[in-house]
Amino acid sequence: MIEERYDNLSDTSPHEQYLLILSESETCFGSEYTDLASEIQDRINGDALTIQEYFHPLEDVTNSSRLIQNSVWLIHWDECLKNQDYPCLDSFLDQSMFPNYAEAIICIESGGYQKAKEIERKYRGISVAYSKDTLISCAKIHFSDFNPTYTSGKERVKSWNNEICERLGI
Amino acid sequence: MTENDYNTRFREYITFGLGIHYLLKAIIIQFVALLLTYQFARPLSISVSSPNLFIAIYTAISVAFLVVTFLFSRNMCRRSISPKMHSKTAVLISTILYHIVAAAVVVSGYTLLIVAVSGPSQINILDVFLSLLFTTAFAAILTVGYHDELDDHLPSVETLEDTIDGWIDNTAWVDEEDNSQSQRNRLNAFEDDCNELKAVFSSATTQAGKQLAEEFEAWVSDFEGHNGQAKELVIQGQKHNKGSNRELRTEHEEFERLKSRLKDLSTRYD
Repeated sequence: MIEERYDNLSDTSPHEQYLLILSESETCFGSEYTDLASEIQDRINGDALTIQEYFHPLEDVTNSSRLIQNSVWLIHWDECLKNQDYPCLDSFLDQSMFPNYAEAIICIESGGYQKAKEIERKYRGISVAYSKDTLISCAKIHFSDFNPTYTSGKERVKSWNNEICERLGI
Repeated sequence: MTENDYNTRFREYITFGLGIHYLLKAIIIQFVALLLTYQFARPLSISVSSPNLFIAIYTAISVAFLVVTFLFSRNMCRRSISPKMHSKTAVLISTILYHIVAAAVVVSGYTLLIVAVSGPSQINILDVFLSLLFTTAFAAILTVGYHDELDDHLPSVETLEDTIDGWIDNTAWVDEEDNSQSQRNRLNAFEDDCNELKAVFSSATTQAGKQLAEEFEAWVSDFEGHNGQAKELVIQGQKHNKGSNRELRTEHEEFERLKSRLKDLSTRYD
């Protein structure tokens, strides 16, 4: 649950943000998601933003109100999307549905760059990571803008938070 | 636990975290009282026409003092905010220790003032029961004295139990309808209870009570720093089959441990 709307930019700092992890396992690209979150945290400027990982159970993946409370989604391609096991995810990732200033990153562990491009064409506006470096790079780019250390980042965090509150009826 | 910690915790069954000087002060006063009593009681053996009646009276009064000591010890144990002292065993240890200290004063008084002067043959059965009366009376004086000192420091049993029960009840904010106003209101109430409990625990005088207060404050500080989603995970635990956030898992385990301890503190053991 998101607790409250942000009325002022100062409300956004410090900000704790969770990486939503949609995966059956606890590792990706040979690293534990927890370690990936730590590496992403290490690349964030300033101390106004804290990044942690949130493992959401796939049995409850239809609970969109829970998913949208995370500004970055890490989705394991083989385990979640490849075989259309969770069709609701396709609709959640639709650009018209996906929250502003949020980022979804699909992780593919085989197929490399070519496969990544193919998936990117299918899911427009969604990033695809085909290695640990590309994953961290995507997250870093997102959090360089979505960071209340900077005024523009505060604006984004406030706007995102209030949009989610709006969707949740807060 | 170091030997020093062990000694401190053992001593707390009498002092409840207050200074040992209260005990020494009471012992000195009692010793002086004993000295005066025996001085005026010479010759030292008590002779009465119906000793059995006096034995019965002394025993009845001794039992009354014993009950007073037990009740005041129990009240201090309950209010000590120490999970270790919140048990029948702790109350019994405390009651026994008070009587051992009182008995030591009475025995040393007898040894110095009666046996040393008149020899042990001067002591009859009535003296023994009178000594028992002195012992239980002194133990009661010690207990009531410490209780009086602690009364200003510690919360009442009712305040402690009500605050803890309120906190435990409001942990159910996670069960309210997701993202509803009632859930947010209940979360606010829970956080208010956290602050209230912190204030109550800050008055802890025992080592274990202070430790519990520190642990609770640290947990609340971490909890308050999280967003709503993380707060839920701290209370409920994480449901993912394999992965979990280590920090939140640790905080959830700490929450369960603290909750269990607080439940013990708010549960009457009689």
